[in-house]
Amino acid sequence: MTESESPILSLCSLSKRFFARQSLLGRLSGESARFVHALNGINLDIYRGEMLGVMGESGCEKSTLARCLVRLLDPDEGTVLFEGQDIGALKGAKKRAFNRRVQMIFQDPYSSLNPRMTVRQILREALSVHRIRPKDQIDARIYELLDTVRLPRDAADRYPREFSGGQRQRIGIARALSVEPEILIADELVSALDVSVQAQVINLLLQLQNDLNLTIIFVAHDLRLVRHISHRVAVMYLGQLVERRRKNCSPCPSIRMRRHRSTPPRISIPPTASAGPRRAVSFPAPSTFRRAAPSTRAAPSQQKNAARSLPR
Amino acid sequence: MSDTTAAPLAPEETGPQDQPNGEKVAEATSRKTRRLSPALLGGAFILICSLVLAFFPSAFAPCDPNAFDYNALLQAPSAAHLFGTDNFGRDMLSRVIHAYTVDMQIAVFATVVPTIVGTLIGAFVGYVGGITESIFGRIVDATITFPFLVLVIAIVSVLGPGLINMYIAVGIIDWVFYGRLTLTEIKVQKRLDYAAAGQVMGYRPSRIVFRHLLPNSMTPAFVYWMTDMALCILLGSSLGYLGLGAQPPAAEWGVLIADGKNFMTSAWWISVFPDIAIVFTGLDFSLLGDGITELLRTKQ
Repeated sequence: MTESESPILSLCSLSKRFFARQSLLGRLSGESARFVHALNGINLDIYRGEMLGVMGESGCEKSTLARCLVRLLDPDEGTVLFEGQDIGALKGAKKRAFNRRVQMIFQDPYSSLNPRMTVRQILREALSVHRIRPKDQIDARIYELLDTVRLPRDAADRYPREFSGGQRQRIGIARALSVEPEILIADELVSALDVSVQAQVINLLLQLQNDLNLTIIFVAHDLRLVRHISHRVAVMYLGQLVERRRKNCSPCPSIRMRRHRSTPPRISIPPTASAGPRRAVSFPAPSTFRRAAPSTRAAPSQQKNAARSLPR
Repeated sequence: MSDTTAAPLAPEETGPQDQPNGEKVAEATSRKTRRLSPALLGGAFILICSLVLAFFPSAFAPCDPNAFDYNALLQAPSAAHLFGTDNFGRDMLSRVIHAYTVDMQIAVFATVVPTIVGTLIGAFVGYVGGITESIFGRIVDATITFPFLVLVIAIVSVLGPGLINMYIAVGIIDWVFYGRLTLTEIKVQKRLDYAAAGQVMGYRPSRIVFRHLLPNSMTPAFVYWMTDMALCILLGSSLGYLGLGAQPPAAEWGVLIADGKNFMTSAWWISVFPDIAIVFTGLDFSLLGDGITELLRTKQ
């Protein structure tokens, strides 16, 4: 994971806008379309074998970023390069290979699994579509995967509804791992889970990264979690990357250095078990800085000023 | 959200402790799903009886449904003729039983094609969305503004009376309803993460629609199908009554009711027994629909 190595995934000034629905009258009168600048000029390199934490407050479009990386969304500007190739231009066999090598685990363990398919069917589909194993070895591989994510083997013939949230999230991990990916994007992997189960899933992920040498992009809004597991942290704020730090050089920049104005209030949020005077927390509503921030519906001229007001 | 309060992770604290617990819960829920509802069992029982009557009417009917008996005109229900006789002395019980063949046929033939075609079109339109959906929406609007019966009568009067033409007329209109039901359901399902997971896996759109979205979107269309079979029997009876559906002397419930309308005050049994058969069959399909809804509902 040295910096001199070429990045496996690199984002070049990635931008994504979501347009508000426009009335026919507005369209006819030539009113310009209103949009939200969901991602705004994101540059980021991701290196083989690292655990990159992407964090930011709710609504800062972390998930949009994650979805752009696997082509669930196409960016309006900029490119995502996977080993130097623009993923937007991939077609046919190359696209399938890309899909195999870059996988995603979803936030909601309840909607991310097809409720009408058993675990075996879910895994078999992935294995057979990508021809990962010959037919007669598929079942063996399914059991291997269940072992990997520490689910009992008899889970194979059950439906997703029969599992708890944590177990379902492991099925999601098994599905993603089934095609033997190199990059795993975990979008709020544990935010829907109970705290005690979070730890188990996170530790599973850490171990998998160790064993399989995965590159993991871990999207979360939990500062402590990201600090605990990431090699590098990227902080997003309203569609922009405001900080990128290696954890080792300056341990957890956002937490120690408090450079960005959105940072201080959030640090004080997670209450700890230690006894001591509680600090009063005032958390400014996103709308209060949204007015000045670049990713709002502001006109382009205003956006320039707003960008300058972001602390660097 | 509980995660903002996450305690620092201690790797040694974790392990597979939660698993036994989770599995116990799992087994309890899976056992619960096996039970069949009384509505479904009752509906299935009546349906099987109806189908037996429909396939082998002669085995159950005591007389020839079309044999005239001028010695027994307009007889009230009695031991010899349980449902009485009509103005030609035909045995009403036999005619009602033979009508099962025609009416069950109407229920199935009139609805099968629109169900399949409508569901497929709805799935396609729902997945593609965009302008296709707008066009489909206008077709739906144009169709449902007319009363169903009026449209069917209009088409049948162009094509000519008869059962086949009635199937065609129903088919032309009815698919729209299935299409609309499936469309809305597919639109909900395709936003869910498992559809996105299929895309991330690189599955073809056809696989995502048929293997993933459609099985989760078919329930409303399937349940509507049950109701629709009952509606089509009523429609067939209405057309039969108007002389546009099954042609006399064929025994069909609507035709039988029409036959009896002139004798309502003197011989109520001619119209009432076919009526009861229609109500019974309609009730049966409703029960089946209810039972199947319950059976197909995914438990989260």
